[in-house]
Parts: sequence; C-alpha cells; structure tokens
Amino acid sequence: MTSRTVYIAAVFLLAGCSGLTQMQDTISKFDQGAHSVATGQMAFFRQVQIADCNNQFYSAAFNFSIKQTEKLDLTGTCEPTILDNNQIKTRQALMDSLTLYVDKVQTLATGDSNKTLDTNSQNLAGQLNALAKSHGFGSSLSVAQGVEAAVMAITEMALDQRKFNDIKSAASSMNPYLLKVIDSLKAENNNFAIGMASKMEQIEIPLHTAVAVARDSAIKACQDECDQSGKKNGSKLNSSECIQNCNYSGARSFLDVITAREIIRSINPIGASPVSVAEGNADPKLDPRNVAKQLNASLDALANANDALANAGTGGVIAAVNDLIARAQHANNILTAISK
Amino acid sequence: MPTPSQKQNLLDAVSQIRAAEQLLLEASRSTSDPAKLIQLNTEYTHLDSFLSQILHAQALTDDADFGDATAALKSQISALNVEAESIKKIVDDVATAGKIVGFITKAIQVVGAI
Repeated sequence: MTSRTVYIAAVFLLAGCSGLTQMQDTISKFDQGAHSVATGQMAFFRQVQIADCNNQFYSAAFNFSIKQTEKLDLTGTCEPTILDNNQIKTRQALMDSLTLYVDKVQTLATGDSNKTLDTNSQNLAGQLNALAKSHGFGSSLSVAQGVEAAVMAITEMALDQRKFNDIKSAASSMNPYLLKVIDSLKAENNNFAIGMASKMEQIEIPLHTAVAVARDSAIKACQDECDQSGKKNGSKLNSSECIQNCNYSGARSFLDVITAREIIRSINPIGASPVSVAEGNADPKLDPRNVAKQLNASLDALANANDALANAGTGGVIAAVNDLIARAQHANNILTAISK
Repeated sequence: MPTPSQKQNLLDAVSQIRAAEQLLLEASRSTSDPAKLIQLNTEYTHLDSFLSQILHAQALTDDADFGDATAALKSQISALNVEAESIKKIVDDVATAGKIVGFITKAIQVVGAI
C-alpha cells in the first residue's frame, strides 16, 4: 500500500470516527433534553396539586373566620380536586415510558455490542408494560387504547422484545406512539393551567374582605371611643371633627393591605411576582398559562427531534436536538424556580 | 375517557366558567362592602368548584368514572341556574352581571350537551 493510499484511508477513517462521535453526542443531548422535559412536566403536575391545596386551605380558613363553619384543619392536608394522586401516578408512568424510550435509543447509539438497558430500567419497563396490558392507563375508548398501545410498544422496545438494527428504524417505528403520549400531555397542560389560575386568583376576594373589615373596625372603634368620651365629659364632641380623626384610625389597616399583597404574591407555586408591575409587563414565566405553553413547546421539540432521527440527515437531527435542549432548559428553569 | 366531541364540550365549559370567574373578580375590586365581598366570594367558590370538577372529568381515562363525573356535572345545572340569578342581584353593574350570567348560561348549555 502506498503512503498516499494509507493517507486517504486514514482521512476517511477519521471522518467516519468524528461523524459517529457527533451522532453519539447528539443522541446523548436528545436523551438529556427528554429527561429535562419529563422532569419539568411532572413538576408542573405537582404544582397544579399545590395550587389546588393552597386554595382549599385559604378557603377553609376564610369560612372559619366569618363563622360559616366551626371546622378548621391547620395541618394543611387536602384532597386534591383537579389531579388526584392516582392521576399523578398515571402521568408519571407516561413520562417514565418516554424517558425509557430515549434511554434505549441512546444504547442503540453506543458502539457496545450489549445494547440492553440497566436492570432498574428494565424492571421499570416491565412494570409499565404490565400496567398498560392491564388497562391501567384507561379503558375501551380509542384514545385511551392509543396511549396504552404507545406505552406497550415503547416498553417492548426497552425490553428488547422489539428489536431495531439502527436508530432511524427505531425512531420511525416509535414515532406514532410517541406522538400519542405527547398529544395527550399537551392538551392537559393547557387545561390544568386554567385550573391553577382559577385557584390562585380566588384568594384576592377573601383578602380584600379581611382588609376592608380591619379598616372599618378600626374606624368604628375610634368613633365608639369618641361617643364614650363625650358622654363621660358630659359634652358632645364636634361629630364631624371626630369622624375626620377616626378615618385616620383606618391607617392601621395599611399594614394589613401590604400583608394581603404579600400573600397574593406568595400563593403562586411557580414564583412570586413583584409588588407592582405595569399592565402588560407581568413576568410570563409566572403565569401558569405561559408555563403550559413552554412545556408544550418542549414536548413538540421532543416530537420533532424524534421525527428528525427517523427522517432527517445529521444536520437536521442536530438542529432539532439543539432546539429540544433549549426548550427543555425552559422546563428546567421552571423546576429551579419551584424548588426555591 | 372522553370522546373528542365530549372533550371539546368540556373545554368550552372551562372557558365560559373561567370568563365568568374573572368578571366576578373584577366586580369585587370596586366595592369594600364586606357583605357584598363575601357574597361574591361564595359565587366564585361555587364556580371554581364546578371548574375543578370539569377539569377532573376531562383527565379521567376510565369510561365508568367519566360517566359518573359527567352525570355529576349535569346534576348541578339547576344549581348553576340559581347561581346565575343570585349574581344578577349581587353584582351592582348590570352590564357586568349580564355578561357573567351569559357565560354561565353557555357553560350550562355545553355541559348539558355532553
């Protein structure tokens, strides 16, 4: 072999190696992005429950304060009304199936001959597969069947019961199943965001009531003192002067108003807004509906990245996965804000 | 689990109830009469409870559970009509009261059609 032939062979070999490394790196990012999306999605579901439970506590506290009930539970336990714990578990199972799929794709991308998932992942896949087969995701209607079929297909792939020679064929085969799961999650995000907003905004009326009563009580107490004082002295105080002075007593409720505003700021499980902000300039990151939009955008990015794996060239895959990473980062930011 | 048209009806009801809630909240900001505020809070609480039940129903995957949930929603239609009448008396601004009642009426119609 001439030195020129060796040189050309080496160039092709290196080009082939760098291409494989680039794809492995891209698949690794695909895996990371999908996991981030799953984590952010579950955090959002839990925040829906928290908003629901906060609302229940404040409602019960207000009803106690106006003697509509003598019951008061200060432990803060609640029975969620929008998403109960079983529904949270079902959604966790759906997200687990998505992450199992991307983990499996990552094993396909490695150069190892052993492309099975680790033991824990295989056990999880087995449990999800059994859950889907026992209709743990739903019943006889077609949409529920779609989600069940999706989880069965994904977990069978994870358990090597469906084998694929390469990533392209795996991604192509799994694409419709992935879309089924993603579409059902997206629809729910918008609805739950509406529910969260409803729960969060309700506190305003009881707080308004409380500060109004605090102000009026302070003024009334002052007026009563004026009357008492007048009777003791045997003379009538100038009533308009007394009333004017007693209005100032309402200033005690200024601190109640500030406290009420702080409660409203703190009730959002996503994060606290500023004390005041110009109309139209509210931070969209704190609005549940925008959070749902961001989560849905990250779910779309996950679907697009998988579609690119199935159908696009390397450049298309890299672009789609980079978009997934960016959108998944938003989901991570939500999680970070919630954790504080 | 809801069919697509049932899901759409539920989504429509969610939008109507939410719009009614937001107008109730706006109405509460123009009064400091504790009695009126408590009445407005009561109406908001009832609407929010109904909203939560709708959202819970649309997230169900079991036929039997969904059937029970929608039956429970429909059984509350007459109570919602009573709410609408109460709101006309509680909310001072007639135009706002009319809008709120309009949203509740539309929600009743779509829930009834599920």
